[in-house]
Amino acid sequence: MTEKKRKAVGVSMWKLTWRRFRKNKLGMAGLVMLCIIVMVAVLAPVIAPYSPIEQHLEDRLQPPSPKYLFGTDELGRDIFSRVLYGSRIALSVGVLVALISAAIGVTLGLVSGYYGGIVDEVIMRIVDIVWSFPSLILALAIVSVLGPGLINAMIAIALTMWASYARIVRGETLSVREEPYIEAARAIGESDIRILFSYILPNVMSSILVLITYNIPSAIIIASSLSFLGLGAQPPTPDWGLMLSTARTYLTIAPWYSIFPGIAIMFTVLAFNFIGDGLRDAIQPERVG
Amino acid sequence: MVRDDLIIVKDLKKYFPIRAGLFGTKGVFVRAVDGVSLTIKRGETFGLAGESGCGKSTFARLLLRLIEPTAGKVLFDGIDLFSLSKKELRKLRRRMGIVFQDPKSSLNPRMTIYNILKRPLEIHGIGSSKEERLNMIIEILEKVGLGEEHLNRYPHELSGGQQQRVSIARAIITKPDFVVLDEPTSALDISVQAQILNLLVKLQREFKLTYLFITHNLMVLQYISDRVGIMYLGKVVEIMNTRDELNLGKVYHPYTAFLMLSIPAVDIRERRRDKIIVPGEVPSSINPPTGCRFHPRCPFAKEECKSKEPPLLEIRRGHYVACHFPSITEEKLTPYVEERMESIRRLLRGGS
Repeated sequence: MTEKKRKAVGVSMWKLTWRRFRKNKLGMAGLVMLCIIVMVAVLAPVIAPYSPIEQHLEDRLQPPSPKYLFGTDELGRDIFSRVLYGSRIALSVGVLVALISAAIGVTLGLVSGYYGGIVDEVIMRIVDIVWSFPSLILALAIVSVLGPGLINAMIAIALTMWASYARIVRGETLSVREEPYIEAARAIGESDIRILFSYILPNVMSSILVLITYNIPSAIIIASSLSFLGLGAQPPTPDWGLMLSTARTYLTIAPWYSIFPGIAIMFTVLAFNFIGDGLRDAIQPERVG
Repeated sequence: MVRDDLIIVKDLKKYFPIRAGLFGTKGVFVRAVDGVSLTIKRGETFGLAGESGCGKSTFARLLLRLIEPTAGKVLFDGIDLFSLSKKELRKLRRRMGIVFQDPKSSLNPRMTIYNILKRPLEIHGIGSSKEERLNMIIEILEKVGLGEEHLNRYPHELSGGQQQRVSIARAIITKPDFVVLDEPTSALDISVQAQILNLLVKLQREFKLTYLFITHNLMVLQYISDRVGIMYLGKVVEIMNTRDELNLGKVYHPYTAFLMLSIPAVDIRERRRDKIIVPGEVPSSINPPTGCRFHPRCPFAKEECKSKEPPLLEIRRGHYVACHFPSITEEKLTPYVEERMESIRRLLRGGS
């Protein structure tokens, strides 16, 4: 009984953040958009009228019609079905890349900020090197070494993105490290590892979360660009970037072929950006207007 | 008699390097603590006072080895604190605690009160089961004037006074011998200050704690401490016994006298009189003055004070002073200080 009573009180910072987020119209719109995308991805086999790789050679480059909602491509595949299935690839690429790069960057950033000295210098110089290249160019270079393919493209993008996590987490760690509660933790005998992961990490988590929501759409865009250039997803994968790439040949005779995957990318990227903005404002209310 | 001294500090120094230029340090240091020796007796409250920036807080952190010293020694119940390995030090932390000035920022905002108080028990393996620990936590919460209903709260949901109570609970939950109180009441409302002070006195009696109480509020020190040390620019200039009723207000260092006289007078009759304040500003601790560090501000300074540094000597039983001419202060300033102390004592007695 007391257990229940105890749960009633205790409003964590996350709950407060959620309360503020809920009031943000654009952020909530982003969240609804994301829910739609996730549902589409999960329910793709149910919604899609055709298999994404099923060819109807007699119906090539058909304009949108009740039979093919978004029209067909040069092999007569249903673009509507391909766009639906493409959401699975886009979401998994975005989320996986953001999580892998966050794992690398956050760990290095924490270590760099907490220990300082030589370790910090070395990590930060590597960050500078990674940052000095535009991420698409660097990803291109890494993929050309690893070889084309969706997995390699994801590795390449993660390797270009971790640096921003490292830099932001390092900066936040530097300031959190000086908080009296860190000194208090040391005074009760907490170990360094414990201080890093149970005291500093939760307090820099909000910035990491905001960065993740901004990085997911960038990852999707870079992955699409790599696919567009033939270095990411390989045919016949229903990847939005890949679809755009083939569609550009038919831009004048079959504009719907490029429009629908393009809209899908835009919709997904916008959803994450809206959420990111809302989250940032909810977490740092003092920085708003 | 050795067993009576819980903390023995020998010639403790902490210099902070200042980064100058591209190639790091060029031998420029802030001498935050510059050769402090003193002992803190078991069960007493040792008060440490001084203006901001005189090295009080640095000294406190050194005593618990939260920072590494430049030179010197600290014996904690006979154990050389700076020779311990990381692991041994962590184990010894069970026997010491610290309470900071700002109650809000000394509690992890992402942890509930329950988790904040559970960690010291877990680290030091106190209590064998979850229930046992929960009971210990509730017990200590009640000791500091909070209750079970605060267990699952977050620090930001509590008031400043309540937050400071949690800080105190965290410091004493492992039943330590020694607790450093680094200006524990400075950030609180006046009414709450008194409550927290009373709580600290009560807890000290109950758990037989030894306190190092740091503050710049001399009124508070008069109330709570057994002995008081006055720090000036990284050095202790005077140590006196505040429980010595007969000699209360007998001071021998001009700086101590000025500090005491800067306590605002509460008595209307006294307020009319001209205020005596410490002349001048605290010099930089990067380049402290030669000789006696107080000489540029001291109205009684002589040639000797500019060149020769006065050692901390016992002038009376239990009373130490670092001044070449203690008799001048005794003669010229002590009467005023005694008068001020008397009025403060009247106030304290009348108030309670």
